[in-house]
Amino acid sequence: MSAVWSRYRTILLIAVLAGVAIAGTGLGAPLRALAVVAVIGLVPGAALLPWLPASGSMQRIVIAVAISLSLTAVLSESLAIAGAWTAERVIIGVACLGVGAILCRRWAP
Amino acid sequence: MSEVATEAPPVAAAVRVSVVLCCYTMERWQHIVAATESLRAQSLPPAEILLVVDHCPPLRERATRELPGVRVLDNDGPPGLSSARNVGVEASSGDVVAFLDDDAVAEPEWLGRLASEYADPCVLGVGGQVSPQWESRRPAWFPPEFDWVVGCSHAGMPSGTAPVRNLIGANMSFRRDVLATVGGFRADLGRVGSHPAGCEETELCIRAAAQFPGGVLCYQPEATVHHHVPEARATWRYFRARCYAEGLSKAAVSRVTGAQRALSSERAYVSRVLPRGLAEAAAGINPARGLALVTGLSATVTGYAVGSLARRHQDAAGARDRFLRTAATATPLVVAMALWLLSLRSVDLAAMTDLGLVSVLPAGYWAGLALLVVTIPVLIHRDRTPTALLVAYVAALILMFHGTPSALYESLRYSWAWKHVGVVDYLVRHHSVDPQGGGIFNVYQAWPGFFAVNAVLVKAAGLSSALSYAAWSPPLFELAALFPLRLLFSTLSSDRRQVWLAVLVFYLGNWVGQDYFSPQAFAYLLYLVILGACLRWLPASHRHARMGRWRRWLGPDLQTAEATSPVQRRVMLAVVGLLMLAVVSSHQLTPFMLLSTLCLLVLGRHIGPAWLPVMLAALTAAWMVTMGRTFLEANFYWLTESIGHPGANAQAGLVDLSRTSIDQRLVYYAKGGLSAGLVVLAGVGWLRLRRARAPRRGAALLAVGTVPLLAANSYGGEMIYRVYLFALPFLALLTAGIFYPSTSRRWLGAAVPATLALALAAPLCLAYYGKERANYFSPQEVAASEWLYSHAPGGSLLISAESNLPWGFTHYEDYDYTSLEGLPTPERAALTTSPMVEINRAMQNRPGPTYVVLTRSQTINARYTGLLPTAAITALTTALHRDPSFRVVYDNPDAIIFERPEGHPEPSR
Repeated sequence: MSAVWSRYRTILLIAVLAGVAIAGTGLGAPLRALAVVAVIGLVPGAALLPWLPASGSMQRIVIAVAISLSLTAVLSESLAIAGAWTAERVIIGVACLGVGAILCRRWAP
Repeated sequence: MSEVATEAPPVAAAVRVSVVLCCYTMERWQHIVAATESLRAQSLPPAEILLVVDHCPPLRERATRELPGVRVLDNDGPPGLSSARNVGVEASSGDVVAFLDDDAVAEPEWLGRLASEYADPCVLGVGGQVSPQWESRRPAWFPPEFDWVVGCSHAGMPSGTAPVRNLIGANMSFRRDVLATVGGFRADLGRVGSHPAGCEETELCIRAAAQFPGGVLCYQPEATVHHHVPEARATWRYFRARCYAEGLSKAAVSRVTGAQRALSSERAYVSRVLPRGLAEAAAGINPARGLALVTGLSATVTGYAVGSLARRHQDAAGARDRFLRTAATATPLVVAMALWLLSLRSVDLAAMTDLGLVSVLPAGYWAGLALLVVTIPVLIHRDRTPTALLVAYVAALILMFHGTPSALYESLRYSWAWKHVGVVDYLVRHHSVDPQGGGIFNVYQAWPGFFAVNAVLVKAAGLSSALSYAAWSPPLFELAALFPLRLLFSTLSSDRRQVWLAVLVFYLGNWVGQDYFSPQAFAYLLYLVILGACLRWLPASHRHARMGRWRRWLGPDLQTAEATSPVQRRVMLAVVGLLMLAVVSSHQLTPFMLLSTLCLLVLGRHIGPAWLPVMLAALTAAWMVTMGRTFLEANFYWLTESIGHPGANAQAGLVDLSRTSIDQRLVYYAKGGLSAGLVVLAGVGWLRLRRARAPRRGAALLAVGTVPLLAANSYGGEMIYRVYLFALPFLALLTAGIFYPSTSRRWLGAAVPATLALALAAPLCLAYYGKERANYFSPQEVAASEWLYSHAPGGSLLISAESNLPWGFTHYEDYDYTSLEGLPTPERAALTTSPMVEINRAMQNRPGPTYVVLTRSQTINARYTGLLPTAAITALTTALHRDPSFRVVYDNPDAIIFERPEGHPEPSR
């Protein structure tokens, strides 16, 4: 189980970092769009899944996407209301939340 | 592990051993009696003796009657030794379960010697020697190397205690928890009646060793039983047949465990034991024994080869059958998609009439759509269709229905979508929102959640604007709703067919069109997820507490909520709070819809804690008085005047049909008919479910949960549509309740839901596609808008006759906007007689440049809504042409732009 988790954590970390890196390096739009969608639409929610009771794959996808989009919306609008919005800040914020959740996995039930 | 025992072993009194005997025929009664007597005579008495009778009622009756102290059980599983042994294991209570054949007799020390080996915790199982007890005499030709043919220990086996790969079924024992962990014997292997198959114990031993890597299976030859060998088994015929059957069984085990494991002992046996046997036969001048060795080996190898080939053939045939079945099931999907794609090539959008897309879509499209709509209920009814295939079918239906405008149109459909693109554009350029500012879109600035997500996507992905992808929002949002819908439905109903039919009915009833690029579409998805999450993971903690009569009407009737730990529940509450915040900050209406339904669910004790709706109300109120303050102040009268007038609010959005075309009346009736029809069908479904004692009170509550909102506001005339939209999932679930739960699997049973699906699809097409002539913006109209924003200086006043045009998508805050449809009714009526007076009124003596934009889609929408007189736009165009203060600055077949330059005198009256 721990081996599976190690791999899982690594994959997510790579996804987060790759997403941020690709989104910030000016690569082709389709690739960047996919990376951005992955970061803002999946990463933080997927990182939180170990704390949640969702069991089936469909349930996990629904919850992960809903959490990720909500988190992005709240973070992005908060920055916008504060007049400090940039896409990079939102991406980095969302990625940090995801990474933080991954690193805190050991305390998950 | 202990060394070879030379004396009677210490009695392992601490180990409780259950002994299982399996029998299947009365013919062995004497042997069964002898076996049980030998068990009673054990130095270590068995904890219990379990006799499992394999589908032989007379034997069961006799054993029950005549074998006191023996617990007689029926094999209620499939016939066969494996299944019978599993029954015995399940009923046993000892630490160790020992197996003795019904035609074998155990020596008195048998159990004690077996049990003594379990002192080593690494020992998973212990088997003993099985010596043949020939009914007549042992045939001279019968090689001891082949004593396994008669179920006995054979030459070549260890002479002392030693680890082995597998034990012999006639004399073996296992720890009970090992058997429980590995799941018992495979029922598809092993002997059935007198059929000479075997190897079920070999497969189990291999499985146990794999599952317990440090474990040992131990052979203790001192634990001896004597196995009766009838005369019928001392023949060449039986010898060959048993060897052949052993080969077949080995092939079956190889398939399950892999040839490496299944044949590891056999390789050593063939390479060492058999050659030695042949040598002994030659030395003893016993050609018959030599012949038997060769024959036995040949028969076994032949059986193994045949078994392997047959298995492969069966596997291949099975895979081919599965592929063909799936291919056959997926064929309508492929055909429908092909028809759809081909039909798109022959659509002439310019030929659209007031029936919208319905008037121009070719027969191929309708054939494809009908094929999908009819096939899905049939697949649902079969109940064997894989979920992935159902998802594929529903996704195809969504793509075909909601993706057709996206695929056909060159530009984004629906004018409000363009305005939403404009708000995203604002956020990307300004890095902030201005909720307290003025302007036509300030309401969006105050609820920026949806736009903030899209701004990240546009900017970070390097897109020029949200126009790059917004056109595909309807199919994407509808597809995204599929997953929360399934979560919600499967929480409210345990019947898979009802769940999937409800999904279909939802899509066939969803004509409202709030799936475009909008905060509503985003908030609606979150609304579904919140309800699903609350119902599934946040059930009220005292759901079955004593409830009053009214609560019994509202209370939950289906326990589908999942168990959660306290930590998980707390995290889920935080997640729901986050989703609520996203909803509250994204859309004005959805929080109230959610609040209404959550209150009912809490009252009915479907969900908890009770403060969930309080939290939502607090979040909503806090947002309204902070971010939404400017909007509230500007619209306070409008928001409050309609409170307490549900009838007026419901009718506020109704169109004056007397001024519309017959086609549009048909569209209008289709919307009303479809909505009313689904409400009626849901009522019928609810009654049927109540009679079936599956009332689905959760769905019923949610179906009416948003109706109270009708008494609060007209929402610009749209409240009745929104109430329908938010109730639709639950109306769909109740409608599906007309047909399911049901036990019928007959094909005919799918005919009625398939017919209903077709009956829903017809008005849906009219209702959803019927306004596409107005929703569609031609390339010429879009070109006019683009020209406007690239040429009109900032601060210009942009005037349109009607708000249905593609504008506001870029730099919207640099301009002022006015639509003549917003004028009071008398002034609107005067547009045909004195249009320039109204233009002048709209300009309000502004000194800056003014642009009047008139387009094809405005003319069409004005006819549909009836807000402007029929000839108003024509009269306006004529008057603007004649007025010297205005000049035409842009003109194409679908759009014209008039400009009044800055500082130009007021237009003539």
